[in-house]
This record gives sequence, structure tokens and C-alpha cells, in this order.
Amino acid sequence: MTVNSLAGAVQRQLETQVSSSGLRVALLQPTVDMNRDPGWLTDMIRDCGLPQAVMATRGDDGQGHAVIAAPAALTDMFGLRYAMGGSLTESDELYGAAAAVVGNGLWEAAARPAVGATITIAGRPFRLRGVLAADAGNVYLDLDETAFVLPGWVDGGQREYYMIPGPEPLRPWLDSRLGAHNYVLLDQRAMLEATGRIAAGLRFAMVAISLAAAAVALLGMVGQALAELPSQQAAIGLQKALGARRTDIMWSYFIRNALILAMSAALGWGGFSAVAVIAQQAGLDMQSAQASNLGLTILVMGVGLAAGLVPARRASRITVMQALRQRD
Amino acid sequence: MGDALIELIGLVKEYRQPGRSVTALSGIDLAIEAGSLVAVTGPSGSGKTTLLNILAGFDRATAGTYRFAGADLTGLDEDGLAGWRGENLAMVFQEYRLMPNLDVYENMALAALCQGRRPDRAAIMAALAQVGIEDLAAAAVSQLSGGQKQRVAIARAVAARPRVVLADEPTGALDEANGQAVMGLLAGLAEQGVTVIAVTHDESNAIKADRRIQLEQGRLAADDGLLRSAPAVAQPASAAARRRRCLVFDDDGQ
Repeated sequence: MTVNSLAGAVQRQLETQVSSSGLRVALLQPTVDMNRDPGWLTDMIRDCGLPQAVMATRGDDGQGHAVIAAPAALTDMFGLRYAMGGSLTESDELYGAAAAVVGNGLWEAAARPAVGATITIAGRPFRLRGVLAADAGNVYLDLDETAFVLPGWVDGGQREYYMIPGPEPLRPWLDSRLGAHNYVLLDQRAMLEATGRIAAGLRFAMVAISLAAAAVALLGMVGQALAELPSQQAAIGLQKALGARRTDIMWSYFIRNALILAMSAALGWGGFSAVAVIAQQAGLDMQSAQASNLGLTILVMGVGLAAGLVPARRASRITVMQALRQRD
Repeated sequence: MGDALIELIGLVKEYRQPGRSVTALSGIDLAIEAGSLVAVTGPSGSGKTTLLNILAGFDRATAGTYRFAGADLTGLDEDGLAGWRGENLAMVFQEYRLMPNLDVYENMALAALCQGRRPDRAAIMAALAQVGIEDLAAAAVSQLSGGQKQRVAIARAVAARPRVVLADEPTGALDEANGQAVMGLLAGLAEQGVTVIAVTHDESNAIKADRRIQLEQGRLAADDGLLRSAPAVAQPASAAARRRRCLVFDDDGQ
């Protein structure tokens, strides 16, 4: 499963949850390693109709930059200090301006642009509103402490977004700010659990689809093998006339079937491995997928060999008389 | 029954079809000695091929006993018959029944492979030489003439070193010259001690046999070694004497 597909699944799940509550959705701090692919989060923010949010670097080398999407209130709430400029404006958030507050490392890597200049992050241009202080470059919200997305409708439909640490102490504040029934809290843990369920569901679906495809392929193989039998009847009859036993015929078919299966499995495994190598070079973790593929390959081989017994047994039952009659 | 290699006692073969039963063989008693060349003749539908199929173990008798070298084959299952066939029997078919996608040598080797043995190249080449086509070992079967294909089939039988060769119309698809040559090869096998039983329509081939058996409507109509189903075996004459014999049978087998 790719990060993008996972992100898409999370987005859909969020949209489902939020649509049932009548609220808009936002996403929170990164929950997966985005050091190599920050684009998906910005895409998600865009697709969810959220305003552009803070972009902060993780680490100070300016190379691998994690992205944190959050409203302007984040920096204030966490007491982050700015080296230059300030946070996103309310207008930025409300109208989705392509504006950003960046971490110090990213700013350095971008040749220290001035506030108000355009900075490219993940291939997209943002107007620089502010630069975090060097010691604020590693913005991270502990999952156990939770960070929250708070989409809500306030003040006649204007949207506000908050990322906050820990909901319970802040409920009174949220109630007073948003109204008691005008917001939902989705904590990270619940989000991760939902993501896990989605991932498990998708994994199950993928396995089911793979098994169904394998079953169709096996049925095809069995059907083709059975369909070929009449044309091979004379050859089978001749072999029996020359002294071949039923078991000899069955084994010859079984081995032939096994060789076809082995070649198919090798081709499939080789193709998957090639894709996996490419995917790993793109930063995706394919280890679990490779393990799943290996397991599935073994399963398909086993089922295929078992299915191969059907045409093999059918072939072994062809008698010399049947073969002779075919020619006569 | 003395030293008979093959003994058939009261052999019956019926084909049951919905609403009726067709008797292909009716009470055949027959004994055939080792090393004889036997021609089985008779009109179409007389049961010749059915008899040959039962002798080969391809088909089973509905009733009666089939003994080979004293052993009762009646109770053998399909694999048992296949094993027996591999050790004792070789077939020569009218339509050759060679594998068209294999060359001559591979067709010869197939017989050994089917019996789980390693092909004996020397034996195969000797067999091909015996039938005069050793230079065709690498030739594709599809490029051979009918006579050459039948020689390959006979060589395949020779290479298996069987005790019995059953031939079903071995000259049926050949011209007269090739037919004569093939019958000569089969007679040569008999002279080497192999029992050869050939079903044939060709009177000119039948009279070259040591012994001629005629079937009519599933019954033994005539047997120049034995008349009318008597369960005894005629003493084989000398090969030269048998080759001089020329019998003519009327419809009653007299």
C-alpha cells in the first residue's frame, strides 16, 4: 500500500466522519514519515478545502523536511518563537492563501528568502509569512499527548481550525469559543486506529482481490488443461499402449503443471520485486508487501498444485481404447 | 494346454448399449505358442480387433480367462496390465501411432521412458538397423513415408524386446511393396522367437503366417492349427513348411 493510497483512505474516512457531523475536515500533524514525500499532505490539505497552513521543517539540515499542517494558532499555542516575520494571518487561513511559515532549516536551504518572498515547498510556491527560530525547527506533537483537528462552524459559518495539545483541559475553552456542539475532537489515537482499520480493510481487500484473481487464473489453468485433454488423448493412449501406468501419466501432467506454475510464480515474483525496488527507491516501505506477496505466492502455488491434480487425474483415466476410438 | 504362451478360454466380449447388448466375441478358446506368426483374419465386425485389444490388455473380456505364460491376467487392474504390457508386449498399429512432434529416435525412446526405463541407444539403433532405417534416426516423423513410419513402429516394437508383438492391420495403410516388406519384418521377428499376432484383411499376407485364425461373427470359424474352438494346441510345423502352406477358407470356415 502506498502512502498516497493510505492518505486517500484517511481523507475519505475523515470526510465520512465529518460529513455525518456537518463539519469540515482538517488534518493534523504528520503521522507517517513524510521526510521523503511531503507533497501528499499538502495535496490533502488542498483537496479537503483547507487553507494553507504552516510548513515547518523537521531537523536542521534543510534536506529532509517534514511538513506540519496547522493553523496560525499553533505557533501561539506552542509558544514558538519567530526568527523573522510572524504567523499566518486570519485571511490566509480563511481564504486558503498559499502562504507559509517555515522552519529555520528549510529557510536556510532556500537561500534565506525575505519575508513576503516566494518559497517553493514540495514543488509548490508559497508566500513566506514567517520563519521559525532555529530552536523551533523540530516541531513535533507527541502522539500520546495527542494533537487534534478541530473543524468547526462558528460566527455564521466562518471556519476555524485548531491544532491543540490534549482536548480535555481545553474543552471549556473550546466550548466557550466554538459553542458546545459546534466542534468535534478527533484525537490522534482515534485517527490512527481508524487509519489502522482502513489499512487492514484495504489489506484484506487486496488479499481478497488477489485470491480471487488467483482463483480465476487457477480455474482458467484447470479449464485449459481439461480442454487440451481431447487433443492429447491419442498421445496419452499411445503412452499407455507402450506400458505407461496411470500414475506415470498423472505424474507427467502434475509435473508439467507444476513447472508452468513455478514459471508463472517466478515471473510474478520477479515483476513484483522490480516494482518493489522502484517503490523502495521512492521511499515507500515495501517489506510488509513483499512478505505478503511471498505468502500469497506460496499459497497460490499450493492451491495451483492441488488444482493441477484435476486434469492430471482426468488424463490418467483416459484409456487406450478411448484413444484408439478417437483415431478410428 | 502344454507350452502355450497365450491361452484364451471361453472368452466372451459383450458391448452393452442402452436397450441392447452386442456380442463381439463369443466363447473363444485359443492357444498360441511362443515364436509363431499368427494371422487373424475375418470380415469387418467379426471381432478381430476386439480380440487383439483384449490380447493387448487394452480392453477386458466380459467373461472367460486370459492366461499369459501361465499367469491369469483377468484379475489385473489397469496399472497391472500396463506393467505386464511394458514387459511382454509391443504393438504395431495400422496408423503407426508415432508422436508427430518427435523425431524417430525420440519415438523409439518414448517406449522405454513410458516404462520408467532409460532408453538404450544401442538397442534402438540396432532395431532401426534391423528394419533398414538406421539413417533416419534423427528424421522428423512428419517427413517419413507411410512405409518408413511403419518400419519405425516395428523397430519400436523390436527395441522393446517383447515376447509378443501384436499388429493391427500393419499393412493396411501401405502399398503392396511396403506391405510385403513389413510382413517380412514381422516374419523375421517370429523366426527370432517373438510371437507375432497380426490382424489382416490381406489374404496374401495371411498365407505367409505360420498359422491362420479366422473369425466370423465373434466366433472362431477356422484355425489351421486347430479347428472349431477345440481347447488344444496344434503342434507348430516347421517355419519353412508353414510358409508353404496356403489354405483357402469358405464362409463356413472349411
